Order: sequence, then structure tokens, then C-alpha cells
Amino acid sequence: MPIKSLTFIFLMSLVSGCANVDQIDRGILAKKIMQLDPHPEESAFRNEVRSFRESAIGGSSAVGGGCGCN
Amino acid sequence: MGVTKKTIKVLHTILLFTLALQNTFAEMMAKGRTKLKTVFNLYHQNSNDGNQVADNSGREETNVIEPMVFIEHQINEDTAINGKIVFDAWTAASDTKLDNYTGASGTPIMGQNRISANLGARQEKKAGKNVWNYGFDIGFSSEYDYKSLNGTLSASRSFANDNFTLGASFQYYNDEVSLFKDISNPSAANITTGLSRKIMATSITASQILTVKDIIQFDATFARSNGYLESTANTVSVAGVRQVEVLPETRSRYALSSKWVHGLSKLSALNLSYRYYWDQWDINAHTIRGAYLFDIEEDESFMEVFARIHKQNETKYYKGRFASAETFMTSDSDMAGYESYESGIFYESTRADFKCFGVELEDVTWSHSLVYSTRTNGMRYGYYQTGFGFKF
Repeated sequence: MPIKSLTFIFLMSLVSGCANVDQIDRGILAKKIMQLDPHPEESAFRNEVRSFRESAIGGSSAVGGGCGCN
Repeated sequence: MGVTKKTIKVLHTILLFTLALQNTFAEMMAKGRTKLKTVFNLYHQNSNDGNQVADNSGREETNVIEPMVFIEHQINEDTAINGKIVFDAWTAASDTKLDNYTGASGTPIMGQNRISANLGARQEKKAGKNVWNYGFDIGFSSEYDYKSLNGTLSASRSFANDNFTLGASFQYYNDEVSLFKDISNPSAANITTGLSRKIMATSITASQILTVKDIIQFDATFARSNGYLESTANTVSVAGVRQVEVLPETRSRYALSSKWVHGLSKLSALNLSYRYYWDQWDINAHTIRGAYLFDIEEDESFMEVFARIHKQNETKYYKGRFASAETFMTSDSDMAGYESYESGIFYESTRADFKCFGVELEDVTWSHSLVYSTRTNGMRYGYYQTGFGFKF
């Protein structure tokens, strides 16, 4: 457990020191195919299904509440 | 007939809710821009290996129709309000075999439904070249064996000229579940309503732009559930006799996940993610997902093809059959050890603006998605999604 936490903190500190990309250079990053979630509305249902059909949660807003979907 | 009346009642509730929402925000809506998206989901699952199914049939068939409506209105440059309405209607083989509410054991598969709605707001505040974002969301959900009141608070701030973003969110669910307590005489079993289940979840998310074509994200999630964590229809076989499942009153769950989006060119990208999950019930899971996205017409339409593998071990409380009663027992196939293989395709195209009942609709999009998943413990599920969105 502590090793996992330390790894996570290390990765977080690593990326916080990355070089900046100016707003003007973000043309490609602004495209839909480059979004972290290119279809958030469809993902709401997908994540809900997975949070109930699998035992795992995390990485999305679906945490297994609000539905008796079992 | 009962189901039809119930459905009409639910649709009536949706209509009233929508009208109330419209009246409440009518003045504000005239001042800004509104985005509306509907997603229609059609889900089917099947399996003949469900140990927990009450009548020993093992059948885990379920069909779900779920229309969702998302609405967001920009009140001014910095503030937006949003709402979501979801309506589910489904038939489930396992739900109706032991259920005095929808019919005695062995009655035909019947329809059930759920309605849920959320309302929230978010605000953006500039901090030099960086941005603060914070918001809230409140919601409810109601179905015959489950009720929920829930809320979310979230905040994020960008740093380093908007290159690094750190966010946190807190969710709380004050839920009520209905369970069968005694199934010694299945045809006379009564459901006990109003049993408390509370879920608190918090997550921290960090994303970083690495290059003009790379962005990564890390997320840590902790969730704790308290109360009655069993499922309504789940049973176990103890020395050949059906009994209700018994699970601990608490469950702490942890997950670490990461995502990397890499542009291969101006027209295509990879979206890769990995999640590690573990919990108090001794389930460990690894999930990996890879997607390839490409423009078909630049900035007009794109396609995503993806594959996802999920592997988990079984909870320490799981057994397919119990020789004798144990303190905690479940045969829920979702808590068994298995590997899951999921693949799918998503396509979205942008349509020309058009007028509808005198209203100019802009940024019109139409999407289709097909997902199929199969598990090594016999469960298979698939769903089709179609979305239609626009601004006005």
C-alpha cells in the first residue's frame, strides 16, 4: 500500500514539472479525438454498467450508488 | 396493465419535472446558450451460470431500455447550470422469480422501471492564465427496490499556464435498499423496504499536457459503503437450500488509474488507460483499455475503435455453493473471479445547422455506438447507444 501511494505521489510530482505548451499551440489537443473522454454522455451509461457488472470502480464518477442495478 | 399505468405515471413525472425546470430557468435561458443531448441506450445481458439466481435456473437475462437527457445552459461567461434525466425500463429473469412485489415465484418476466434526475451548477473563475472550476450536483433516483438521494461537490484548478490541472470531487449517496430477509418459503417471501445504504466517495485527479500531442491523467479514488450492501435478488445455496446472501456492513474500495492520449497525427490518436483496484473484501482488479480514434472528415466526424480487458479475483466471501452456513456468503457472479473482454465502436458526425419549430439548432451531432463484452464466468452483455445533440 505505501509503495503504491508513494509511486502515485512520485508520478504526480514528475508531471507537474513538465514543459508548458502555449494556448496557441493547442490546436491538436483541442480536437475531439484528443479529449480524455471524447463522448462523456455516452460514457455515463458505460461507466454505470461497468460499476455494477464488475466489482471494481474508479477512474470515473460511477461509484456504485444511486441504483439497485445488481 | 399495471406496468403501463406505472410507465405513464413516470413519463408524467418527467414532463412535470421538465416543465418546472423550464419555468424556473426560463428567464435565465433567454440570456445565454443551451446545449441539449439525448442518449438512447439499449442493453442486453445473458448467462446461464448465475449461481445466485433464486430459482436455481442460473438465468441472468436482462434487457434494459434507458433514454438519457443531458441539458446544460450557460447563464453567463463564467456560470452554467446543468441537468440530467434518466429513465430505465427493464425485464430481468432473476428479479421476478422471488418477488412478492412483482409477482410470486415463477411468474412471467415483468417490466420494472427507474427514474433519476440530477441538477447542478458550475462556475469558472480566471486566476491569471489559470482557471478555477467548482460546482455541485444534487440528484435522486427511484425504483421499486431502491431509492437514492445524492450530491456531488467538485473543484479543480489549473496551474502552469493551464498545462497542469488538479481536481478533487466528493460524492455522497444516502440510499435505501429493499431486501428479502427470509426466503424459507419463496412464494410467500416479503421484501423489507427502507434499509439504509450510504456511500461516500472521493477522488483526486491530475492531468498534465506533455507536448502538443500528448496529455496524461492520474486519478485516485476512495469509496466507502455502509449499511445493507446485499442485492435484492441475490441468494446462495447452503447444503442445497436457498438462503439470502449475507455481506459485511462496510466496504472500503480504492482505485488508482491513469490515462494517456497521444496524437499520432492531426487526424488520429490513441487513448490508453490502466486502472488498479483493491478493496476490503479482498478483490483485486486490473483493467486496461486501448482506443484508436480517427477523423473521417476533419472536425466533422470521427470514429473510435476500442478494446478493454478487466481481470479480477473473487471476494473472500464468494462460493458457488456453500456446504454449511458462514458469517458472510455470496454467489454473486459479479463478485466471482473472472476475466472480461470488451470491444466496441463509436461513430459521431456533425450535421448542418437547421431550424426546428422556429428555433435555430447549431453544432448538431449524431452518434452511434456498439459495445460487446464477454466474461470467462459465462456472462455476456452488449449494448447499442445512439446520441443526438445540439445547441440553441
